[in-house]
Amino acid sequence: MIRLAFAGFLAGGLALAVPVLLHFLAKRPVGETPFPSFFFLHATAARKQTRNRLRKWLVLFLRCLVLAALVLAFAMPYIPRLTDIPAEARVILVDDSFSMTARPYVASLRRQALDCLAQTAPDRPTLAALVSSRIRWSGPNFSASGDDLKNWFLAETRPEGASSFDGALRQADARLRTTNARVKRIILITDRQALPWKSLRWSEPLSPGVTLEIVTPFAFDRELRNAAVSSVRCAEAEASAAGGARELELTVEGDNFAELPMTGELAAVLGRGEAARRSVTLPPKSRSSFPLRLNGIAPPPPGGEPVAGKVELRVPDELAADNSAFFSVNPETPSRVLATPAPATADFIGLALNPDPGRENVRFTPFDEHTAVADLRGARLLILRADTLVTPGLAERLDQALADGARVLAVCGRGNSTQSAWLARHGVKVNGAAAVKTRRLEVIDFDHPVFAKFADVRVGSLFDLLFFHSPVLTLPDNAQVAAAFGSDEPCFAELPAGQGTLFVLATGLDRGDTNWVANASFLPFLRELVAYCRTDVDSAALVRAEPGVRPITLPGLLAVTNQTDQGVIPCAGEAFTPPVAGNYLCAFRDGRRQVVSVNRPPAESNPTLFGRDVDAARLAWKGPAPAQTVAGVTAADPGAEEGRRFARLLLALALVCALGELALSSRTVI
Amino acid sequence: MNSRAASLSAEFLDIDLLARLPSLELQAKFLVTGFLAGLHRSPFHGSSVEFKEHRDYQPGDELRSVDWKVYARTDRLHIRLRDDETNLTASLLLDRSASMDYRSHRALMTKWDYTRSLAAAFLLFLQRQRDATALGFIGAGLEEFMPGSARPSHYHRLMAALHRPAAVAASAIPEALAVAADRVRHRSIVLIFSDFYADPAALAPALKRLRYQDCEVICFHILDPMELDFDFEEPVRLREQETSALLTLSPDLIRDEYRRRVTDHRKALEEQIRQLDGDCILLRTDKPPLSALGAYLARRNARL
Repeated sequence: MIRLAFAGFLAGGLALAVPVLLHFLAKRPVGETPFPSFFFLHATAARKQTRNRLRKWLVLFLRCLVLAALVLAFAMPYIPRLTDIPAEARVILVDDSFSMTARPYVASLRRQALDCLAQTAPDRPTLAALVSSRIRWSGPNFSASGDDLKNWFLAETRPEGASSFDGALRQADARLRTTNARVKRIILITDRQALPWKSLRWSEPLSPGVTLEIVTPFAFDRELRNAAVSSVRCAEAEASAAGGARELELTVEGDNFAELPMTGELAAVLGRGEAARRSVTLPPKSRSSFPLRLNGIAPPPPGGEPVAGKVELRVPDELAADNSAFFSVNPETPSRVLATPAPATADFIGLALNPDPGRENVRFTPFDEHTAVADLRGARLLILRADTLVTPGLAERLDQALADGARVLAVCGRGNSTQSAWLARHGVKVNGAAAVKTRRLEVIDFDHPVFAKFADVRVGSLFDLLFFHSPVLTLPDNAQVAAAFGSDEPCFAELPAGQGTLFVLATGLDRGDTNWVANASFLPFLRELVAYCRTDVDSAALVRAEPGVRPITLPGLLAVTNQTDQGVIPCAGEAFTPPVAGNYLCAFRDGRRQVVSVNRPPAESNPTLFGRDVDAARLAWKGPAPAQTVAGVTAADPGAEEGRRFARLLLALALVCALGELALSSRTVI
Repeated sequence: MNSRAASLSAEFLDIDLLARLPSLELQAKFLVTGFLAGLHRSPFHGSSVEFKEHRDYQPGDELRSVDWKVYARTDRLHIRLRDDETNLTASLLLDRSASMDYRSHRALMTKWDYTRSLAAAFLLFLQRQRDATALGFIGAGLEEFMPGSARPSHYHRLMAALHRPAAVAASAIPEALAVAADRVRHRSIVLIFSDFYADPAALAPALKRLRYQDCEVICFHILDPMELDFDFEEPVRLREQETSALLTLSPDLIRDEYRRRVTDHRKALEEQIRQLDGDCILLRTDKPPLSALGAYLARRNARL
């Protein structure tokens, strides 16, 4: 049924009386004009006047049509969209997290969702959404077709990831707010997971008139029996025999959320075949760790193909979606560290970065004032030793490298005036004469990435280290002190310099300067510093990425393929968004290939019941009810655009009719 | 027709002045004088037959008809008259139907007044030419016909007859012409003054009959400019003068077709008369009727 947005303009329809009155009160010729003879007029006028009479009525019709079109254009008629139907508007939110696939209730939930969608009718328009890591709506507008919504639901439902109800409820509330339905309902079909409710803002109620109804279509009197793979870590196993081949070993952590122990198998699948299998028993309500050696699978050499697969936990639980986890081992690219030439005595830096002559962990090479700036810029870290003579040429090279984004570690010894002069150019003052007493570290910033892992007591304490002749550093305000001897005596700090970073260490790295070089913590310190200086993506972080939530950015990314189904994933620049959990083979412009493993969030696996704890009424509007909107069209109502389109058509019609009236009226009289 | 003479006369002959003249006689003299003023410059050629008598020279007479021997003896101009000239009769048939009593805002006199002035001019002119003149009025039939005579008393009688007003009814031109054909003298010149609201085909029998009698027919188609152009601007309610019928119409709507019909009618009438070796001359009542006398003179000389 057509409705009018501004029905008041219909009063303008009274103007239709004007042409009608003009038509009937049209000016007739006053008096009679004599004329000699109608000899020539009879034949002409009789025919013309008949046509004229028709034209006259046509002109009247066109005039009325012009006015009617104008009046209707201002009244803006429109075919009311479904949001405008005042009976009832519904937004059905279906939890689409992977916990919805639990065997005891997956069929019931789907049936309930389909039943709800089937109740859609013209007087009960419905908008549906699947809520998981992201919200997928059935369309921009409410629909009157239950079949369309059911088909959409069956095609689009893909339980994956975790869900959060806050965003979905707020969006549903906003959609219903734009409607004029007398009853506005949000129906949330979900299981009994507690997680989606964690982030709900209970203090912000829904709009007035919007009610929330939670549907859990089953009587569930026990917890879900579920076990899950919570994490997979890869490590290189010790050689099985002397001189044997290197092998990969997986450390798989599994959770048993059930009250009873669960026994089954743990298998590692590479490609289409199993690479390893073992029996496992998961104690009730606990997490267990299981090693799984991949026989015959070695870590990929530098430049080789990555190793990627999946770990499957085969236990008789009721939720299978979280019984597997993806893992990958990518070939490592050795870090490139340049340092000024070592002294004749022991090179503790070199030893720390490359302790095993047989393995190249770090490409450690010297540099001097003749090294190309491009080489300096390409290195992960430049180390300026304490006793290096900083010539003007070297200083210039270092400044250029810093300006281009290089990272430089300046090791400050007891006295190196050339180095102090160079550091002074960056605002760092080194007072070597004041350094006479033995000191210990007193303040360490364990939030700093270099020292973050030292917070673990198993790593060993840094507070026991001795520093014999450490100089006193005065740093600029923008410096960040990560370790200090006291309140104003920094030991290790970093400060921005150009596009790069300058690290300053207030101690020489010789036995006469500190005992740190002989301490077990020195090697991890340097390794962490080198790791901190990396600019590419930490693949370990990618393993924790949640599917479908946010894009993953990889510098130099060229193409992405899902290894499971070989589907090509579209890239947006150097980023892609994994739609589901899986191993994603990423090809880079420099020819490298890397696998990014994306797994579901483990929190959703914990089947904690919410039961009676969630009270939907808590979200209801408590304040006074605002006045009901009566007007037919709102800004967000698609009917408004419809009305504007109608208005434009009517204006065009009025224009055409006006032109026709002009053309005819000039040839038509009385 | 002597168009040159007419155009030259138009320089000093004004329809406004003609309309303001108070009497038919003055109007006739005005027209004849104006016509003859141009005629002097344009000699007419006639034929020569047996001499009958002399008369005084009148302006408009052919110089070749001047008897130069008499002039040499008497120092006065005389014209040599021939027998045929004195026997020529012109019959004037005037349509006095109600439609002739029409004058629009663009005309200075009604078609009837225009016709009367022109007829009076003819009477004066013919009287000076010593041609015999007959006069008839066309109404429902041939209402009155006064046979031809060249006597001065006859001239005055005809002039008096012209003072009657137009009729109030329609005319029956074909029937009137048919009756007139029996009345006019053979080998005469018949001058018909009318607006010719009749089917040209219906006129054909009477006109042919006149032609069989060896008469020259000159039709003066007298129309008001509004009849020709139909230049009404606003919707009008027209009343037909002949029948008092009413018609409300839009001039814009029918003007083009009306003009086309008038033109077609004129062409058909001219063609009809031309086939009978006659002339059909359109006279607008907003223009002086100079071409009328010229046409007659051309016909008269051609016949002599």
